[in-house]
Amino acid sequence: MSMESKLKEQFESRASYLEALGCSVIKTIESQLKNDLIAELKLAPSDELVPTFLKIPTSVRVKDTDSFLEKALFRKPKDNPLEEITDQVGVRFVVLLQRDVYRIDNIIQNQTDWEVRKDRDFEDERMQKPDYFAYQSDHFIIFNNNTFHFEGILIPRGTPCEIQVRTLLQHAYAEMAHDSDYKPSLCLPSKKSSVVRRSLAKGSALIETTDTIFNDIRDKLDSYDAQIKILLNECSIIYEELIKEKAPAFTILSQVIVDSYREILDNIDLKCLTKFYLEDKIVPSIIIQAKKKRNLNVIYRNSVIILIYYLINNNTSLMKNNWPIDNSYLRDFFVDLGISPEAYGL
Amino acid sequence: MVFSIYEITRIIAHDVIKHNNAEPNLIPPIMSEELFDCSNLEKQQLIINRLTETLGKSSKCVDVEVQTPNTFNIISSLIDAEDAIFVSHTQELSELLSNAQTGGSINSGSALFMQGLCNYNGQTARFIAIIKADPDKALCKRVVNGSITMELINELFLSSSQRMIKVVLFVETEHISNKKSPTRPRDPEDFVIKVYDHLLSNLGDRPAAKYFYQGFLGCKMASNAATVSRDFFQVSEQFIMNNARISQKDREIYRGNLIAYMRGEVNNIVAKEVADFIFPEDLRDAYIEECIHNEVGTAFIKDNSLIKSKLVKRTIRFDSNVILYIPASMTRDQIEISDFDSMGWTTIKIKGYITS
Repeated sequence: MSMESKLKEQFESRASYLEALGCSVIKTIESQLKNDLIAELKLAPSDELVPTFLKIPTSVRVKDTDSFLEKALFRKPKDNPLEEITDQVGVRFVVLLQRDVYRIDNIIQNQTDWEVRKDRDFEDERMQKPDYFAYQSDHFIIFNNNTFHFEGILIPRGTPCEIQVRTLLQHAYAEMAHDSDYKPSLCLPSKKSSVVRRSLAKGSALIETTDTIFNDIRDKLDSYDAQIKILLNECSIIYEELIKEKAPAFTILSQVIVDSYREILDNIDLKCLTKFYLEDKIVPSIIIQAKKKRNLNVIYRNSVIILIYYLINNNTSLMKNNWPIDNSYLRDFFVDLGISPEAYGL
Repeated sequence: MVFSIYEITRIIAHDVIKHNNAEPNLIPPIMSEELFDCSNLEKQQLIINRLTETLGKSSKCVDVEVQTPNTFNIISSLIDAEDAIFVSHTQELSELLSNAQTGGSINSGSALFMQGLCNYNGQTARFIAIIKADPDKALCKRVVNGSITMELINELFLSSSQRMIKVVLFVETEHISNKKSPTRPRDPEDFVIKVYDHLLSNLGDRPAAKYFYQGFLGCKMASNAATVSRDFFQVSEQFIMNNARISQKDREIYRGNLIAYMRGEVNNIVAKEVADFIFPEDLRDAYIEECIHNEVGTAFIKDNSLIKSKLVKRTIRFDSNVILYIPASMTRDQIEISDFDSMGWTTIKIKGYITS
């Protein structure tokens, strides 16, 4: 049997556990990502959280046999390619913003079941060559510390898996520039290659600039919502204390409702809200009693109810003007609090 | 009083007819023998909504006190009665209400008698409520053979647009088990009683409006209307003159509005409605809170006898010793007072010629 045939056979015999390793890596990272998003950002537990965060569904890619053989025997010949070629299986996480890349990076680096090696760090590359613009992605190689089973397949200890992490824009650039990786001539001094290299650099610089602007947009949006987020977070805490059940702080519904009362909320001191629920004799007991309504109506299961009751109690006349959803809900809340909805034109 | 209704635990309805001594009623009223099924939450919520609309904060309901306890004794006994007794006592009450309905414009209708639980000032309390409503007419959509037809319904009851209703609520503020020496019949002091009657809004405290709360319930207004009207006027005036958010110019405008409102046709005064009439939106809640804080936040029947002189004319005094008297009948578009300028001048624009 020729060396190539032997290598081919050995590589193909690994395919099933390479794929299983890739799947287990995705599962581990996505599961941790979901927990982090719920805990840190106070988002509602939902199966949509991870697919929304990751801009392209993550899949496992086991290296094509011929591609492996080309790399092992011709492009980057190795003494022991089965051990030394570390991208035999790869997974790629594509996110929206640079900060999201760091979030995934942290998850990868904090796993104790793997040994992690960072193969490419584009932050380091930027610092080393500040005038140079090219492909940008974080590349990690992980090796499982122990032999383990995943979905019935045995994965030997030390099997490598490459993980790429990049933003959506970096991904777009990488897709566009992919062919240049296999054109060594582009590195030679010639007018034609210079034109291509210049175009690639311009594209990369534009991507980096746009990424920076996107981060800036997110910062400004976060700062615009800072006070509201603090209030919603406090509502979630108060709700949990009263009902003894968890309720997420940020849902689409809660954000739509609070945004409608932004002007009033900007002037509400967090202490006033907390003090109100500590001292008021009536509203907390009404919330606790609304058990049947909680079973029937999603708004009653949302911690924004804390803010709604507070607002109705303190700004009764102003509520109707900005109420963003069907008035029948507002009418019900007035009735809950013993306020005649009719008197307020509801 | 702040109350919010949690649930209705039992409910029954009977016919209430217009009593006519000269011509005895030919068709006897229907007296139900069984309680409704209260488990339908939607049905229950509709009744709770109607009770809160008429009796909740900022509604036009008024506080009453027991004067002659006959009806009160029956109503208060419902709260601990077994179902069979509850049924027979409500039948008796229904008859009493029929007997009280002797006036010209009073209509026959139905009465709902119900018991439930509410939150009263932070405590869970039991209540009895009675709603007497005249039947309403409406068209109901029906689809027959793929076409829409309209069917006339004569006996629509408690629709959200129905205004011809009377409601009384007895909230048990002192539970019988908390009493050191419980009495039966119950002590009226153990209850807070609220009445809503659309006739009170239209007629004030004239005889036609009294048959429900006085003739049937044996109650009287909880407080002296003239005293409450005076206190309410004073609280409102002080709010206008002392609130730091109101400019000097607006003070005069709002005071004029207050006088115009008190002189107007409205008989049943509610702080919320006064707020809507006098103030811009951003001051209304603060004003209502001030009224509640000073115990004039509940609706009352107007009696201007103690504030007559204050309603005849408005007096504006200037620091330069000039005094301006404005007839209270002048409307807000007949006199315009601007804020004083940096040189200490106030501009006043009056519709009319100088005659002397």
